[in-house]
Amino acid sequence: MRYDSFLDLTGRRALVTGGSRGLGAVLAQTLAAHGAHVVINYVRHEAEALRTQQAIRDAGGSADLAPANLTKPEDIRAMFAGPLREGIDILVHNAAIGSFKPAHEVRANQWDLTMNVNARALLLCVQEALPSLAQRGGRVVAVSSLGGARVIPEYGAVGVSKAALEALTRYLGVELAGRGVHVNAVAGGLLDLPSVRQHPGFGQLAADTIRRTPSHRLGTADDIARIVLFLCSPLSDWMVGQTLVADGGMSLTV
Amino acid sequence: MTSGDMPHRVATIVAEALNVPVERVTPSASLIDDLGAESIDFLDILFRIETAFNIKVRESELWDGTIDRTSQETIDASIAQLKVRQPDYRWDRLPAHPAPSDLGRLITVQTIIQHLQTRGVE
Repeated sequence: MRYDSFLDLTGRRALVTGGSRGLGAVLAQTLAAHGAHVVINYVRHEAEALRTQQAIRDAGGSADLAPANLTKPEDIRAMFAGPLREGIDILVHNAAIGSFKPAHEVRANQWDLTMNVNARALLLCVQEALPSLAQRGGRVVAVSSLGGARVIPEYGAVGVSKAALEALTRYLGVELAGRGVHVNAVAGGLLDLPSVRQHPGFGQLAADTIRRTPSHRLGTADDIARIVLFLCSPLSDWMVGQTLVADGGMSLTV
Repeated sequence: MTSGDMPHRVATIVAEALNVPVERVTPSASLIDDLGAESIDFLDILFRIETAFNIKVRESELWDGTIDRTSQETIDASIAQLKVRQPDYRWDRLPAHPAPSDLGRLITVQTIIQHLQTRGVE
């Protein structure tokens, strides 16, 4: 049996949170390239969101914008009552925020903001999207990172929020499988992205990661996009609540 | 809240976000140097301001609006104007010719208040 058609997302509507730039933009472009109508969520980077939308259209794809501050439940509700009122088939929760510092130095407001964007927003988006997701055999993909299961220096609140995201993925995966909604996650290793380069120790971290990675390089946005595409397709139907680790084998080495 | 108490509300918002006593949140207080703000805190404060005053705020308008970052000359000229408007700021803490990376230290509580005043918030 050939499965090529499983990657055809024509007729599907996909929301990518934090889709204006960086990894999110690549995820949006990948889903659009496979036929999905993509809705790009953003809050601050309107110019980048417009550029990503245009890039998708220039490539023959279809995309709309859905600005919403994911820290605010009322903004999420308004997004689903407005730009997403037709419902969605696919939700990719990529939006993330955080401060690069040790966990024991994270302040309460930084913790709240990080948890609310990185983890709680997935819950609130799923709650809003559930009627359409359940009706259409929906797919939910959470974008996590190795810091959710391992300890990365200066990654305190983000790592904890990614752990919460992966736990939420497990719960939603089990709870919603019976309703035909597939929920999984991907945890990437260190990616070579502008946002990741803001990490104060990026140079040293990148060198250490490459040294410890059997594949001898950092991950790319495309590496993650291909796995997200797999999780958005029926190819991953038998996976429920799982977090796929995509790190070139780095986390397996000692 | 009554009309005209915006500066007090801003001080309260900043104090709550940064977990500092509101008495420390004076108009001339630098968010970074005096109140310990980090980059994520600027976003937190912006979101709180938006919610409290029911407005949308562009980050660039709020934080970058007073400095022309085109070149060292324009930065220096902008700072010369800022020194007139913010005489209480401790200018001795900045280098004579601040680099773009120093400019965040110039953001004070008064920066927020002035932006809100330009938006008609009282």
